[in-house]
Amino acid sequence: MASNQRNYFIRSITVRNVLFWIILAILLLGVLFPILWLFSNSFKNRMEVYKIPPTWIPKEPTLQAYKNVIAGVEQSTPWPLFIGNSIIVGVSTSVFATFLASLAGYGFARFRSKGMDAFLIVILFALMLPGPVIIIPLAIIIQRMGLYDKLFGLILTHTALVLPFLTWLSVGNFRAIPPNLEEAALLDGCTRMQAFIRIVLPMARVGLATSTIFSFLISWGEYPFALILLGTREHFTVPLGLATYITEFNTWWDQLAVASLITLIPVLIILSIAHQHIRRGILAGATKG
Amino acid sequence: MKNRMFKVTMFILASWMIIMTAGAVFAEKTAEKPVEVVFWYFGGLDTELRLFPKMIEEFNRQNPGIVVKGTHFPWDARDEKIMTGFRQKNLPDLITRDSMAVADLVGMEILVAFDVEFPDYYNSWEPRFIPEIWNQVSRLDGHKYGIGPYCSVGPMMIFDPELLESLGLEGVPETFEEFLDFARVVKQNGYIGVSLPASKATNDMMIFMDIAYANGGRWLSPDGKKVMVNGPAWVETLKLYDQLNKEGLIQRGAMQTDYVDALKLTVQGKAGLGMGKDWINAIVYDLGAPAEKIFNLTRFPRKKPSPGEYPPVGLTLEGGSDMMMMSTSKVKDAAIKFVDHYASEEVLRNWGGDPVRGRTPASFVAYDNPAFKKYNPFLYQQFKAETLFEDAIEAPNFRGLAEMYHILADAIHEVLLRNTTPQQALNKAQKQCQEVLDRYIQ
Amino acid sequence: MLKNQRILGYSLIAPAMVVIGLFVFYPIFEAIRLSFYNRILTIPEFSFVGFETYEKLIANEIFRRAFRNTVIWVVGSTVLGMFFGGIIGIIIAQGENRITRFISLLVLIPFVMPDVVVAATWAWIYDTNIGILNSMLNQMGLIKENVDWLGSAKLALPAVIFVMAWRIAPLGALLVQSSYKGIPLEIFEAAEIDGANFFAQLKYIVLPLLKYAIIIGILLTMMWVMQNLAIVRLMTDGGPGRTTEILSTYVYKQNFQYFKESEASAASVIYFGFLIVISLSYLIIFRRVWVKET
Repeated sequence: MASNQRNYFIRSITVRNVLFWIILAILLLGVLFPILWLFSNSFKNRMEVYKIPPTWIPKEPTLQAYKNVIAGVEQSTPWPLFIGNSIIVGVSTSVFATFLASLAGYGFARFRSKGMDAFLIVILFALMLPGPVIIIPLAIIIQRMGLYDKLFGLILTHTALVLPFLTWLSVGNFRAIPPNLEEAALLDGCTRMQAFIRIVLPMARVGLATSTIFSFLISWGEYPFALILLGTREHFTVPLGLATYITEFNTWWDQLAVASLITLIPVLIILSIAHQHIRRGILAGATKG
Repeated sequence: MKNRMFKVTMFILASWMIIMTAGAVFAEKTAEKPVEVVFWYFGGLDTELRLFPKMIEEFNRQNPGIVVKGTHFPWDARDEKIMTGFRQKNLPDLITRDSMAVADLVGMEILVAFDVEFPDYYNSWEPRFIPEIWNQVSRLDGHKYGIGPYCSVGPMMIFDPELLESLGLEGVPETFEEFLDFARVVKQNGYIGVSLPASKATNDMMIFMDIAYANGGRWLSPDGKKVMVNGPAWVETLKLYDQLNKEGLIQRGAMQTDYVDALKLTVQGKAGLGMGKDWINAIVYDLGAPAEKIFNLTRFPRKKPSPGEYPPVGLTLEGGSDMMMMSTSKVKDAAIKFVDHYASEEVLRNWGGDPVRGRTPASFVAYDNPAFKKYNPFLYQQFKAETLFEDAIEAPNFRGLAEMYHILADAIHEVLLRNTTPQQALNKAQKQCQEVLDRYIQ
Repeated sequence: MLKNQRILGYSLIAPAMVVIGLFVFYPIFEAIRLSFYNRILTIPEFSFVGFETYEKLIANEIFRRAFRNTVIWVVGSTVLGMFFGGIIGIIIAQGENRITRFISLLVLIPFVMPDVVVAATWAWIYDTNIGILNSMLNQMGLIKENVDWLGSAKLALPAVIFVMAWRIAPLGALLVQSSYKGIPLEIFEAAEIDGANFFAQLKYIVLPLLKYAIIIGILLTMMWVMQNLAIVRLMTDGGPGRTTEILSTYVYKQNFQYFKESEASAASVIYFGFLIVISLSYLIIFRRVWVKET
């Protein structure tokens, strides 16, 4: 890209440079403060975690909490299982939802009509549905479909939750792609399907990646529906596992800190891989709504 | 070439989705051969959490034709899971819950009355349990809906005897005035006088209620039609809270401090006195108390003479982990066997201090467990003297209580925020609670 | 459009519309239907009462309080979050190297952490007696005695708003960053030559071009915030008193703790209506920008 030109931009304001970094450091500290706090606590032993006043640097650093979490794997918190479930649900949701949203987005973008616009407004309304309204009726539907306590039920639910937003992004994404290339291809004798695959999809690649990642993230951290729609521990997802450490008598901070950090890792990996796509995707989707 | 690749991908994608759907639907139809009993349990101490899977496994081994599948959920989720299960028509067969839930669950018509449907089992269990508990807890209109191994009792006060002695305080405060005096001395020496739990958590409200009851107050009039929360006992209790607050005898942020956080202050030596229910002893070591330190547990002080219009209560009894059977269950005959296992002496014994420490058992056999005498000397002594359950009544249990506790919390917060006086706050609460109650008694 | 084109169009959107219709609209219709009764799950009898539940709700001072709090909560956290996120975004966008890429990844963390962990961690940080915030402020000499963050009537709502803003900031950063990078370099260079300093560039170049993205971003973020329940519920559960009670927690309590199904439904419907009104007015107000861009 124009990287050397960008750096030229910074160099021209040398004083601001330092100020930038200072402000950035302060803001970053504010943003990452809780993570650092969790990190610090993951190395404390049981007693020190509850000490008053609290300390940043553990006086007796220990890996006890890490051991407990891993040991807990046998008893009550099989983390590999939970992470695995969350990955299954997350990936399936993102694939499924992106697929449906892309079809719909393409449809809305290319086939405008009064009827279609009406449906678009319907989707806008769907975006505004408050969560608590949906919970119980949705649970009833899942139950009637026989999908209670099945990961697929959760996948379907997450898809439904994410679909309105994803569709909207998708519409913006496809609208940003000029139709002339497709039309040229159609005139040349391609079927619509071929045109879609070979021409449109590659150009929409960025937005598709965004949708996939976004829906994965939302599915990963989702708690209320997972709580209601899952019944046995073998099917639990990561947020339910984390909730185990928050009992009514206490919050097992040392273990919660470790678990939070551990479960943050898969997400960060996935994010870093697809980082560029997110940024460009949100821009495209947002500016052509 | 690319076209074919695309078609193949689409085909794979589509068939994968179809397979997942089909798999999900078909998997449900495969029958299970042994009888399956679905059991949900909520919350509990760490030791209890480790106990339940073992207990379930032992039962499954001893009863080859039955498989109990137990799942643990966070305490916070107890209302959601049951409510949703109810609406989905997908309730488990057995649950363990606090006895306070009985009124609501009976109202939803989903509980089995053990004395009616399983009289033989019911009679066989009766002699194992302490009569005051057996006859009052988890009952509605005389029918018994829940069986549990322990009761939460309150109100209790906890303190470090060494600390108080070092400050020149002897003995134990027994009246409100003595309590305030103790707190003042503690404060003068640089500690927090009393660590007061005053958040909106239900347990905090129950502690407040316990004190009011111990002073002769009641939620409802005997006929159950009038809310009495603005009676003199309640006002005096709220006045005590107010006084503690005004004199700065409590920790800052009392309205954000729930029963656990308040306890942390006491056990770490930052506050001189603490309050709660009997489970205090169960968690002190987990909250940062030094390893072999003993904290004394005693009944919370009362106002003398008793201000309330009703007889003062010794302790309120709340079943914490009472097993209840859902009337929607299709495998009741199998499920009752598990309830029987839960109510067996071998299992009940576990709550006598080993491995579960800090609970007040409901069964006679648990008190015989030598561990109990060791870890809970105060309660053991009272039990032996047969004064433990003197004047003990069941913690109140009626529909609308959850909402009323929140209204009560509002009233307490209004006073602590110095916006109003105790009597006024409780008068307002009384009106609002009465509105709630009226919906149920029409 | 040709007829078979129209059919193709509708069939493309059909699967998504079916899912949305079934899972999203059926519930709202159910909620509307239930709100016309007076059902409490623990009372077997109930009856049709028309708008009476709504009347009772609006007369209820707790509900009104929750409504007010929700407005403050949503506006506060959205604006605060987008603002600080935007600043971070602009700063990060200044460079294009591995460091800034790494930083922009880190910045996403608040958004990526599950609600449960965020709420519990921040509640701990804010804790009056054992929280690290008070401890640090004490050590730095900024306060004499511990501040009651979540337990005081004045500070609880701002404290919670701050946490939500913290949650949102990454979105703001992302949005601003992407838009910023979309501005052609030549414009900046031209401004440099004309002698504009950084802040002038910001004001006359960046902000106008970013306007559309920011406006849409704010709308979407508001939607997201409105649906959030866990943060407030796990941190203060509406307290102290009802100072942090928002519509989400109110509906939750009515539904799951008091078993008052009809009231919860009515409250949800009012909530939904409110959201629609806000979004529509928002879009109408900013229609100039909308129309100009498309």
